[in-house]
Amino acid sequence: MNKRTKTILNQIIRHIILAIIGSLFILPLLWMVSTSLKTNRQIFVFPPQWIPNPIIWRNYPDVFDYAPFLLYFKNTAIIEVACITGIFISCSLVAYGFARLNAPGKNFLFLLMLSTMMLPYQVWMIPLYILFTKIGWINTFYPLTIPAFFGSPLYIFLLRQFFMTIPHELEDAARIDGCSYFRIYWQIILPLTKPALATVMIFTFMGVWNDFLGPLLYLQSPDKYTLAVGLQVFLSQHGADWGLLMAASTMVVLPVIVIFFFTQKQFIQGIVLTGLKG
Amino acid sequence: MNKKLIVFCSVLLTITIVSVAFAEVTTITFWGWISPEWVATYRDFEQQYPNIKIKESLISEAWASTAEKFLAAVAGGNAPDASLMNSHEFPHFASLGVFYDLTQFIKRDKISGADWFAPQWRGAQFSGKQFALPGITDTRVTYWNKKLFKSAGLNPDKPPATGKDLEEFSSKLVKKDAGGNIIQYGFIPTIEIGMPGAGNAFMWCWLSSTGAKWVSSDGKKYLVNDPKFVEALDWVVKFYDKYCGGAEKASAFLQAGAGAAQDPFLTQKLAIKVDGDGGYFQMATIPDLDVGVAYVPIPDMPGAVRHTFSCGSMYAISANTKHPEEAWTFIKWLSGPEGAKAYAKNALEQRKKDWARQQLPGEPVYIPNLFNNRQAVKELENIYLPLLPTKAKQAYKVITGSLNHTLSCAGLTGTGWGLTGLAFYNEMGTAFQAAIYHKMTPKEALDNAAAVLNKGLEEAWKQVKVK
Amino acid sequence: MEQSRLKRQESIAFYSFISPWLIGFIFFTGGPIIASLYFSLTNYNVVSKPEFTGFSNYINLFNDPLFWTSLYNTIYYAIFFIPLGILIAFVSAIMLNQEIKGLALYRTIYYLPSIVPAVANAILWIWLLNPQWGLINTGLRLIRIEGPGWLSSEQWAKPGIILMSLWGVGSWIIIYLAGLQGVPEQLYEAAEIDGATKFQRFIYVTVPLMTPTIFFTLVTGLIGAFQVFTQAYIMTNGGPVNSTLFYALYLFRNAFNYLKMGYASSMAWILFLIILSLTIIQFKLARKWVFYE
Repeated sequence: MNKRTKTILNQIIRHIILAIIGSLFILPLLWMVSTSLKTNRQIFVFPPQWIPNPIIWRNYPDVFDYAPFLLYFKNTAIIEVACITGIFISCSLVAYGFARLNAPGKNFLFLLMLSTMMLPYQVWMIPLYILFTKIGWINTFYPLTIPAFFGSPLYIFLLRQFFMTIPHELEDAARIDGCSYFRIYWQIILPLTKPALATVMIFTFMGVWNDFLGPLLYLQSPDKYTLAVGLQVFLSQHGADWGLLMAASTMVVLPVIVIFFFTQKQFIQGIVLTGLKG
Repeated sequence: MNKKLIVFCSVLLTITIVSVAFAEVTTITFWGWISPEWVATYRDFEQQYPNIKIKESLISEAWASTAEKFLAAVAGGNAPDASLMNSHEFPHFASLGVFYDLTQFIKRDKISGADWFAPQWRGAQFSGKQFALPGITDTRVTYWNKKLFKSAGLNPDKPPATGKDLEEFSSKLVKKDAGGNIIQYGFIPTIEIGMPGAGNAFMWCWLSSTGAKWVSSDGKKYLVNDPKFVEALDWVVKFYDKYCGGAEKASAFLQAGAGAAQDPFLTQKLAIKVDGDGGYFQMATIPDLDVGVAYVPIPDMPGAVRHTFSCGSMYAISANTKHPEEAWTFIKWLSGPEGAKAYAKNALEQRKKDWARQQLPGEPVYIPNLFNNRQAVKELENIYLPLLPTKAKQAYKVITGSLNHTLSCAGLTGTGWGLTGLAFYNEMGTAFQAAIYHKMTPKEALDNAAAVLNKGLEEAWKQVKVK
Repeated sequence: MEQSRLKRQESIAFYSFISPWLIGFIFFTGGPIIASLYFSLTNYNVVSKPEFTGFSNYINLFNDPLFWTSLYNTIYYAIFFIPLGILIAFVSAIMLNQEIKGLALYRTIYYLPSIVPAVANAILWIWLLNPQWGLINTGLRLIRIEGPGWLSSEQWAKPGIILMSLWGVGSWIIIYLAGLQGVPEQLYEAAEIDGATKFQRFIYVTVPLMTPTIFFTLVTGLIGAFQVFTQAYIMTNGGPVNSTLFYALYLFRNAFNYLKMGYASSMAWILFLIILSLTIIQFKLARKWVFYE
């Protein structure tokens, strides 16, 4: 067969494979949405009915009646902006240091940084909490945002790996031209690692969005609560209203999916390293 | 003349200052639940007591451990003035001296233990001191599916009352498919840990109904390998093999209901279950589910006595609070008839909305949550029982009636879970599993649990701060 | 002279660049971590002052059967999950890096399991792993294999949880995708000019340039796998019969259920030593196979 048919066939096969596996991945989301549009009578049947009949839309507006969702959304957004900014600045700076600059004690410090990921959080969360209490940060957003400006070992490590794959020649040329380290960082390294930076920002976004324990511990006033804590209000002590809970959960998940879908196009797709001069 | 004026002005000034001080509003922090019906209830309290403001905060996910948030706060020195505690964690926290001793308040306000259901009331004590007021509670009852009973040729109005009944009914209710797999179950003796989805605390009811106690009367020793418990667990093991297709298959079946959205009882694949009273509302929202409610069954053993089980919450005041008086006023109100009526009214508002959202006509079937205060239970019954349809009336009476033979998971002795309540829960769960999975015999499993638990108990008693 | 001045300049620059992390470590992380080391030498119930007991926590740990059980369960998990996870994520990333329509949509779908709440994933897993009518066992039955009880079975609960975890490798897929984007196009072109087949281009261009990212997922994957906690906490509570009692779950229980924070801290530090040793070994081995520019 000719090349064109082969290509089309290739495409079809790939679609089939991706779609089969993808259909499994999308199942939980479909189940969530399906349940959010049902009454109990429609939920508790076996085998389950995927498309509800009739479709109950009122779970969605009822979510806002039940809990101040817009307030939770606003609080979460505030923390997100702070964290994404803080992580972007701090992690890229620190990663560049570890990736490209040499100094005595560097390897020790790098290992020390990684080590902080190796001790389970449960055993140092109480001393950390006490620390935050002593500086008066309890019931503020500070414990959830300020630490982002001091870096996260995981993302520093990730960016360090990416920075180390950039060809030395570019930086060497810049150094010869008299560029400062910061300028190299800003004008060479950062633009060339957009996929990695986007990845770190998306992960940060997700981490903050779903963080429950942090806001529970550090926030006392309900008017400061985030979406993750807000969802818990729906799981009150007399069991879950599944339709309502799934409507709330779907609304919490949707922004993440949408943001992920659209930011992909901006950063991950189609960025290609172009030539080394000379 | 001047002297009189000065005295008069001083007195006036004093009166002004004093009345301002009394009119001053005190704000107390309370950590508990913050769903709409609770928030409305806190506001109702503020209406009745205008000089006390409540700043509420979420203490934990529903029924999850309060430990992380509460202990961190105590360690950091910013514990709330008052908080809700889970009953099974309560004795351990209390023993460490984190709560305010309520004994003098109780004496002063003439609160008698007889006003409360005894097991939970006693569970709020440590070393003879009262450290909490029991709040919302729950019990376990038997639910059965009348339609499935009828199809199996059983009398739909006769619930299983003994172990023999459970066996006999199950043998008729179990349905298998062509491959020999059970597709409809009669009864599964659930233990909850690791087997989510279909009824909890049957094992506690069953074991305690043997009449034996699992903690010694001085609270210093776990007696979980008492021969009566061994015999009761043995019955459970045999039941799994004979009527459930074995523990593995039954567990897999129950896990299909994990997260309870495919709950086997609600999807009418399980005919009988022992579960908490709170589930009744959900059942009432499914019109073609015809459910009967009765007391829990008892083992066929000499000396067996019916017991059901309550957990629920305690309201406590933190030891270092600056406002013990106001905090006391609040928790006394919240756990008593006034708080109960306010909460029930607010909860009914929510249930009306839930009912409408479920596209059901008319008024919701509303059985209020149980309180541990006897007067509260009585007054709620007077208000809400007449509003119920006949079937639900019977369910309500069973639920409140079960309070008379309930035991509490709080409590250092007898059938409380002991000082190390959560260790008890985890180790017993493991022992049950070991037995029903035939990894150990019931006796071996319980002997092992006793050894592990007693070691931990000894260590815990050394750490006790309250004398 | 010039050399040492340049070196000093570089050192100063290095410390300037890493100062955010260094400052944060000194102020926020260092103190609590040292505190937990101290706690491991005490009896500490969080609300009272810790009581110094020396190494007795560590000694008691070695005599605690659940310590060994939980360690075994965790190592079992790590050994299977890490290589399988990397392989599956890598293959998926390759597939999702193709030039086909709807790529953004597919990638989003493949990332979904990492985003949806645990309860939704749990539903999926019940349907896949249910011994009677779940997809996996139904599929196995078609090829005449009677599937196991998965999460209800003592022997198969861990494999069941490993399967569930493999579902969530979406983040690794994203990282690999970012890495694949960074492979310079002209290297492929040069190889093609030299007559390399597609497969050869993959082996000699793609894989070597992906080694830094693979190394990252290996190191962080190991750190994460040894702290596996969530699925066991939500779905099995350590059962059946402690077969899914992972180290981090047992640690959590000791810390917050039994109020034995000192004991839990000693558990944490032993885990720390294990992970640290393995990580150092990985860094040493990395010189042999990780290719940086």
